[in-house]
Amino acid sequence: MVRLLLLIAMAMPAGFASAAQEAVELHADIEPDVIYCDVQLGQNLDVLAATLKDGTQVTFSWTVKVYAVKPYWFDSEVASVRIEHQVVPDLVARRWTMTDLTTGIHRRTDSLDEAMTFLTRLQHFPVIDRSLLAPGRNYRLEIQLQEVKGEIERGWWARLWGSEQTTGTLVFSLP
Amino acid sequence: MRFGWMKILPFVMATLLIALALGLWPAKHGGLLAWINISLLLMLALLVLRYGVRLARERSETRPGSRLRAKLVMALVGMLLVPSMILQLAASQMVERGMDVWFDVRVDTLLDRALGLAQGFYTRVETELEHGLRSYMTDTTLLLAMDDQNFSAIASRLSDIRAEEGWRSLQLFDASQRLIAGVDAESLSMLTAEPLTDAARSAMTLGRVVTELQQVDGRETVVGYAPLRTPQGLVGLLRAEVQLPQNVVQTSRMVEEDYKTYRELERNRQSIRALFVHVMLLVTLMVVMVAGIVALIFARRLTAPIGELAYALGRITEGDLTVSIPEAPQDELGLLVRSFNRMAARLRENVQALERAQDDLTEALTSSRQRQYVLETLLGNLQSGVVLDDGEGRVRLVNQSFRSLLSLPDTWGSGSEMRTAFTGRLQPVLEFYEELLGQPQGQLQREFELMLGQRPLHILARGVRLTSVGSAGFSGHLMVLDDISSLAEAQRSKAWAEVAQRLAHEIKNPLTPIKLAAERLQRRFRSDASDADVFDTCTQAIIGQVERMQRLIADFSTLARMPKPRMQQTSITAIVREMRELFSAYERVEVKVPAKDVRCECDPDQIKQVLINLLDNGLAATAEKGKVRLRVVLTDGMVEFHVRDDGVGIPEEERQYIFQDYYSTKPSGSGLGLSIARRIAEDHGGDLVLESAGHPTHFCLRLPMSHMSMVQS
Repeated sequence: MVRLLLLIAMAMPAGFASAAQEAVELHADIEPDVIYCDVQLGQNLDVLAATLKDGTQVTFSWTVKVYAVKPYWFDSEVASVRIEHQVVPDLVARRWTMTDLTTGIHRRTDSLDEAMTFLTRLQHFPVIDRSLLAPGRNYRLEIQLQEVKGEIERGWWARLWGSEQTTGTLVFSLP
Repeated sequence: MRFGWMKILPFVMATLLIALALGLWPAKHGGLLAWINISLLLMLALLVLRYGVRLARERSETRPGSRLRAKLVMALVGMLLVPSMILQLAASQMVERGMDVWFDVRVDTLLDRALGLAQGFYTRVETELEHGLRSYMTDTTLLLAMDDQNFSAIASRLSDIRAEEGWRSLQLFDASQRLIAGVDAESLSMLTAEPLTDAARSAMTLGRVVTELQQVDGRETVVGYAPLRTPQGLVGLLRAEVQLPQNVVQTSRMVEEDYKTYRELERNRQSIRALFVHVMLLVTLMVVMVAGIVALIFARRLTAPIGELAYALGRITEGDLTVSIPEAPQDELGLLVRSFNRMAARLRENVQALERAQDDLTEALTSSRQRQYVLETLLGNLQSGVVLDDGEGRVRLVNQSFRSLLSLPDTWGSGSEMRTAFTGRLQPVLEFYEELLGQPQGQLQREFELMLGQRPLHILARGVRLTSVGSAGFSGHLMVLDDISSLAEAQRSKAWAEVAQRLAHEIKNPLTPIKLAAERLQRRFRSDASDADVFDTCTQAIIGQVERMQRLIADFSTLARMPKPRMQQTSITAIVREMRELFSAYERVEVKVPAKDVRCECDPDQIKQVLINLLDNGLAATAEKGKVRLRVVLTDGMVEFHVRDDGVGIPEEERQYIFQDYYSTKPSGSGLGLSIARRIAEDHGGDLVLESAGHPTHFCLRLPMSHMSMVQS
């Protein structure tokens, strides 16, 4: 496995006046068959911990997209993967239920750190099959994190109310 | 109140609204309400700004009613906006204070303690369960029974433990996670068991007691797992359940839910406050906008009649009387509009009446001008001189013939004084005018002579006094002057011709016998005369005087029987050459014959007669060495015979009489030569004039080259 750190992306807040309160560390692992990525949310973990301690359920929706970079035109999307991690606190029992909403698998833990790691980190996450990418061409890996505190609104109006979003990008090319 | 602040106010309001929008601009995301409010504020600011720009563009010439409308709208919106903003500020403060009350620290502490109680209950149950299970991990009775596979002993022991600990159920699994035995407080134990959870496997793996909370059908159960170990290793797993009291569970969950809600509210405290503020601001903005629209409609309805009234007044001021205002509602404004419409209608009727009167006057004036034009044209083409005074001695009307006849300047016309113009040689005219003024009959006719230029004018003057008739008439004196010189001369010539003819008839007959008798006396009795010289002198005198009288009579006859010229194409060159030959005996006569043949339509005999007369006069007036010259000059359609002599000339005082009949400076002259010559010239359409009275004496005979031109002239 060739681990290639190409670029540490800077977080770009979606809001107008929002500063870069949260940042995403994004790494791409180019392996012989599959390209993986490691993602780590690096800031505002205290706020997240306080939120969980207050008993508010938190959902992290990660969207990973791969674009083919075009010099004079819009980049074309090659692949898109979405995964949602949710932690529901049980204040009375002092336990946290961690659920992968994509697969429905859940488990409980009495460790807040474990629950936060479950939310804020994607480790060795498979993004795209390498056969779909052409060698020598530049690709842009973009990850977008949508953080929802409380119940998830699936309706179209949820976008109108807004939610905290964090993005990160890096550019890579196959050897 | 000046209008200036009205133009500035919209910009101030727009600036405040934009500042408010920027102040509300969310730091992060913000939500829909914030953006709606910001959009409404910006839209309101844009509308106010547009209104302000429109007001600013209206300079001195504002649309009628726009000022009043602007004042009304601004006043109404301002009256609503200011209290709304104050209310908004007060409400914001109240929300802020309310938030402080809601999220009081005592509530926070109370909820923390309540949650701590719930957590303590759960912790105590789990702790007791763990403690109990831990004491049975090395229970020898149970381990021996398992080793002996004595299931009744196992069940008995499990039953004793459950009863002793008060657990809801107790199950025993072997190392292969198969259920060996179990007891239950409420029913018989089931030999089929649910699969072990991750917590159970953790307990087996870690070799310590592990507990977990299970929720089934709203009931909560604390489940604990304790591994059973012998020195040989893991032999089984003890699973115990403790049913939590339902009321405690419900209370605990309610406390948890309240705690969550409270914490969420506390976390979203700013958002809640912002929500309150934005909702109130939204309501305020909606109310302001609705009020603004209502104010605008109200102001338009109120100011529309006033604006139309002002506009209509402006149109009437500019002269458009057809303007009319649509009917307004039944109120004071409507009454004003109707009164204005009635006023405009009356004004229109009056103006129409005035226009009709003006048309009539214009028509009359046009007719009068036409008559005046006809009169002026008539007077202008009259040969008679006409002048009309205004009764006070000033000229009212005069034609060009009058001025030409009396050699008056062209500036002498309407308004000129009559008496000041008729002075000097025009004294007879003044005398006639004065006589006309004093004439009681109102009419006067006189003939008098005027000496203007070289020829005397014989004037026939007629005058009449005009008296006013009715209001349209006017008084004055009309004076008409006619130059009857030609007529008088013709009459005089005719009279003289008759006299001459009579004289010729009466005298000519005796003259011939007298002359013959005198000649006979001279032939027969000269030898008998004692004094022959005296005899010769006397008889010669008789004969000479008779011959002179015969010539006089011949001239009289000629004058009396002046024939009309027999016009024919005549060679002027030949006439001049003939004159040269005729006077060739006189070296003093120099005749210059034209180089080329010049032809003229005339009576050659009469022209020769004129030339002979002129040359004879020249010879008579010159001394031995004096020259008499004849030359011909061609001008524009005219032939000019110039006769000059170096004689003594003609005295200036006699110059005006030389062409009159029977006027002669020579003792033996009849005084008819030049008169006849001029008549011949005039009969040919030409003229005979004295160009110079002396040094040299210069006569010029002008003849038209063709008879056609003579007729045209």
